[in-house]
Amino acid sequence: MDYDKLLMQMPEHRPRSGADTGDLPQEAVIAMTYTPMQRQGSARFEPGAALSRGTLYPSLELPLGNNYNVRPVRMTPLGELQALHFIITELSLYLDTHCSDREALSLLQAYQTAYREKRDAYVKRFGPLSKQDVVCSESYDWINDPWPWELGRRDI
Amino acid sequence: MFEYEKTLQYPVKIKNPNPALAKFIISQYGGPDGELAASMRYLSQRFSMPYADLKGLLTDIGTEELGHMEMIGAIVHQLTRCMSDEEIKKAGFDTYFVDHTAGIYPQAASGVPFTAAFIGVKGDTIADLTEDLAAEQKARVTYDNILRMVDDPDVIDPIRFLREREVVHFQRFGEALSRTTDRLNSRNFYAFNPSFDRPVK
Repeated sequence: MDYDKLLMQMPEHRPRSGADTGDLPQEAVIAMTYTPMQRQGSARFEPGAALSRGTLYPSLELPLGNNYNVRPVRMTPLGELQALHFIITELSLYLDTHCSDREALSLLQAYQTAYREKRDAYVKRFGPLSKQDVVCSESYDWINDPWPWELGRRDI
Repeated sequence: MFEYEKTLQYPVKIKNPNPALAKFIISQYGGPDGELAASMRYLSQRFSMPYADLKGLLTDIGTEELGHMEMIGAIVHQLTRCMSDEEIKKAGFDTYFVDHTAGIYPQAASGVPFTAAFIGVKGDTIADLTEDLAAEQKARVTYDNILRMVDDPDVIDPIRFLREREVVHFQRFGEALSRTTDRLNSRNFYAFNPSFDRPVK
């Protein structure tokens, strides 16, 4: 791959989200390293796009060359679940360092509610995702193939 | 405690086995900047972390890394299924095969087995978070290097996802360091170790 050529094709500054800059302390004393804090309310991808791109935030999407992961994750029932779960992961990490952002907290709670509903429906249809889910099984189907690292028959 | 959720964080579905790729992708399982090292580093650093929000961050990122380790295991597993003796030799997978057959063993691409020497737990808030920043960058470069060697879209796809996670984690650890210095006296951030000493009055 010719990375120089790829980089030449990139716009000089990426204006996609307008949230590429963050906040630094006004008085940054020396002998310390500072990372700009991501600002509250920065632009977000939709759940499916966030999963395929590996981040909820366009301003944090910084691929090698300009190889953006635009290939969408297939929205199978499990894909939908993974997409929602991923948003929860991303919002939690953001909140760990921005715990006073009320809007992000409400968003996290909304996605958790959506995830819980989807997960319940998935478990009823396809079997347990955790051992706790065996409560609604007729047999001990926790152990059923395929396990996550295996290709299911439908996948090949 | 930890409880298993029976799904990958991101789908891994590799149609064409290719042991030549497995031979170096295994490095992100048990190599110096791999996912096992990442997970053990953050989950272990938690115990001496003094700040509640950053205990949360280390727990959340350390747990996510366990899921990444599983994804790399799935990639290597799927790349090495149904291999013939001839394919193993041709792919140069023979050196791994003699020791581990098609099992998943935590080692670097060079064959060096996983060791705790790959990680750092200094028990000092600033030193540990600085280690974590470097670790995310090193893992990002390893994924860059893997992406330079791979042309199968089924493999590129999850590897790009994992690479992007390193960038996000780097940002969060950087913010964690700012959250730390916010709590310290800027006249001398090194006056004491917040992971060990009581704050000086």
